[in-house]
Amino acid sequence: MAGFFKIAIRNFLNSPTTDPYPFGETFTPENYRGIIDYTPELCIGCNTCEYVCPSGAIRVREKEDGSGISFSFWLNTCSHCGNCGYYCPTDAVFNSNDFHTARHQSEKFIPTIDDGISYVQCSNCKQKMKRPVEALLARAYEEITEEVRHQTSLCPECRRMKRFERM
Amino acid sequence: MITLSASSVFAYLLFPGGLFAVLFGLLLLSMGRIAVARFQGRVGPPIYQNIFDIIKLRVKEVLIPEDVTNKLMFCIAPVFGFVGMMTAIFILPVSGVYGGTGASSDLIVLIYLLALPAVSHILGGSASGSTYAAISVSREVILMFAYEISFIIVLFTVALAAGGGDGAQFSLKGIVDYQITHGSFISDIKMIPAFLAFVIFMLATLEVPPFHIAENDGDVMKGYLMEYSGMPLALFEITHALKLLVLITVLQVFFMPGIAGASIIVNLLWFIGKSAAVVACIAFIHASMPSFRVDQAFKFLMIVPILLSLMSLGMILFF
Amino acid sequence: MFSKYATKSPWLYRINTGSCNGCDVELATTALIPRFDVERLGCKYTGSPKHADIVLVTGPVTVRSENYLIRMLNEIPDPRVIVAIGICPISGGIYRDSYSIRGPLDKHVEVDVNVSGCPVRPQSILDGVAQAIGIWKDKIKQFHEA
Repeated sequence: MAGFFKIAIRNFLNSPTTDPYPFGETFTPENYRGIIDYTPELCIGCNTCEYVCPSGAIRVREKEDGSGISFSFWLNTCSHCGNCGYYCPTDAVFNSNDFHTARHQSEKFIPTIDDGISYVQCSNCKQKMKRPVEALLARAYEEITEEVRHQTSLCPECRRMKRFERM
Repeated sequence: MITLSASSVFAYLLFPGGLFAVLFGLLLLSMGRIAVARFQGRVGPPIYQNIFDIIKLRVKEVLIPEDVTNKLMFCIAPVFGFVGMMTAIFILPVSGVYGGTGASSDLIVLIYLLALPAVSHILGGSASGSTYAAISVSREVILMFAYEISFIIVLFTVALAAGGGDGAQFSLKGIVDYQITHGSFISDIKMIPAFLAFVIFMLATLEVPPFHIAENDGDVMKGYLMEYSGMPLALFEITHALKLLVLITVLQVFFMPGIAGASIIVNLLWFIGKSAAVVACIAFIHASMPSFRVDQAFKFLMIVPILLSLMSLGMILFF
Repeated sequence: MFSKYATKSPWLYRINTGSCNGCDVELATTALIPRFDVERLGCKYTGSPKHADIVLVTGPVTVRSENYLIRMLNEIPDPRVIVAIGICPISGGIYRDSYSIRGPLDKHVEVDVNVSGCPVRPQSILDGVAQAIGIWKDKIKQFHEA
C-alpha cells in the first residue's frame, strides 16, 4: 500500500502524462496498420488482395463498361490485418498510418477507396489488355531491354505469336 | 431557538446554506475528481464539471420503471436526503462567517441529519425493485450500522472536551467558541485518535475507496441509483455534494475551527482553503486505495474507528 | 436556459454484444490509463443504462445477446447517441456470414456514429466520442422542441 502512496505522490508532483489528442497532436508508430491506401499506377489487377482479405473488404472487378478494372475498399469491415499489403506483388495496396476511422452513419456504405486501372491497347492487334507495371518487370528481368519492353506492349495472344515466329 | 426571520431564511436559501452550499459542494466534488486525476497522472475534468452534470441531467428524460415496488416512495426518496443536508448546512456554524442557529443542543440533531442521505438511499434503492439496488441497500445498511457507532462516540468525545471539565457542551456554536479561545482540538494530543476515527467515518459515509462498496460500478452497477434517471438522479448528486460539504464543515467545527482574521471575507476564504485541502486528502486516499469487501469493511469499521474513538473518550474522561 | 452546456457532460455506457473483448480493452484504455484521458471531455463511464447519454456498442450482435441488447437499449433515456465501436457491430466484420450472428447493429437500432477498426485505436474512440457529442447537441435541441 505504501507503494501506491509513493506512486500517487510522484504523479501529483510530475505533470500529467496525458496525450493532448482531440485538442492537439498525437503520435503514430511507424509500423501502425491504419486505413488501407492504394496506388493505381502500381496495380496489375491480379485479384490477390481480394482473395486473401479475411473480412471481404476489398473488391476487384472488371468495370461495367469494360474499360478497366475497378478497385473498391470498404473501411467498415476491414480488420487491419495487413494481408493485402503482405501479398500484393507490387506493393500497390498498403496500410497507411491514418487512424481516423470515426465516420457518421450516413457515410457507412460509401467506399473509402473507389479507384481502378484502365486497360491499355495491344500495340499489334489493338485488343484491350492489362497493362505492364515497371515494378513487376524489375522483379522478373535482370535488366529491362528494348526487346522486353516491346514484348510487354503486346497482348498475350500476340506475344505467343511473336515468340512462335522467332522460333 | 430558531425564529423565522429574514436573516434565517436568507441563511437557509442563499448563504451559507442553499444556493451557495450547492454550488460550493459541486465545485468541491469536481475538485476531488481533478485531484484524483492528478494523483493518477491524468488531466481530469474541468473545474465546473459537476455543475454541468446537473444541467445535463435536467435535459434528460425521466424514466420510471414499470416494476417499481412503491412508486410514491421511489419518487420522493431523493428529497429526504436533500432536505436533511440542507438543514444540516443551515445549523452548522462556519467559524468567523456564520454563527449557526445557536440552538442549545443542535449536536444531537446532527446525528439524525447525517443519517438521512443513507436513509434516502435505502428507501429509494429498496423501492426501485432492482436486484442490484437490493444488494447495494443491504451493503449500505451493514456499513451504516458499523460507522454510526464510532461517529456517536466521537461526537460525545468532542462534546465532553468542549465542556472543559464541567459537563458536556452540546451546542455547535459553543464547541466552536471553546476551541477559538482554548486552541483547536487537532493540536490536542488527546483528540488525535478521535480525529482519525472521524476521518474514517467520513470516508465510509462518502463511499470513497476503500469503502466504495455500496455503489461500486464494478460489481453492483451504481447500486441504489440503478433505476434513477434525470431529475431524481440530479437530486441524489446534489445531495452527495452537500454531504461532502456538510462532513467537511463538521470536521472543521469539531477539530479545526480556527479563524484567520476579523474580516468575514478572509474567514470565508480560509474556510474554502481548508475545505479544498481536506478534499485533496480524501482524493489522495481515493486514488491510492483498493476497495474492501463488505465483510472486511464491517470488521474494520467495527474495530479500528471504535477503538480509536474510545481511546480518545477515555483520555478525555480520566486525564 | 442552460441546455447548451449540457453537451459538456456526456456519460458513456458500454454494451458488449458478444465481442472478443479487444474493443472492450481499448475502451477501458481510453478512460482508465492516464495517456488517453476521456474525462477531459467531461465523459465518465456509468454503471447503469439509465444514466447513459452516449452508448458504445461492441461485438457482432450474437443470438444469445440479441434479446439483452434490445432490452438494454429500451432502458436508455432520450436524447441519446449510439456509437458502434469496431467493425463487428458495424458490418459483422470477419464473423459476417456466421450462423450465430444477428447483426449488424443498425438492424436493431438507429446508429449515429461508426468507429471502425479491429480493434479500434483509443484515439479513434476519442474521435468518435467527439463526433457523437456534436450529434447529441442537435438531438437535445430536437428533444426540447418536440
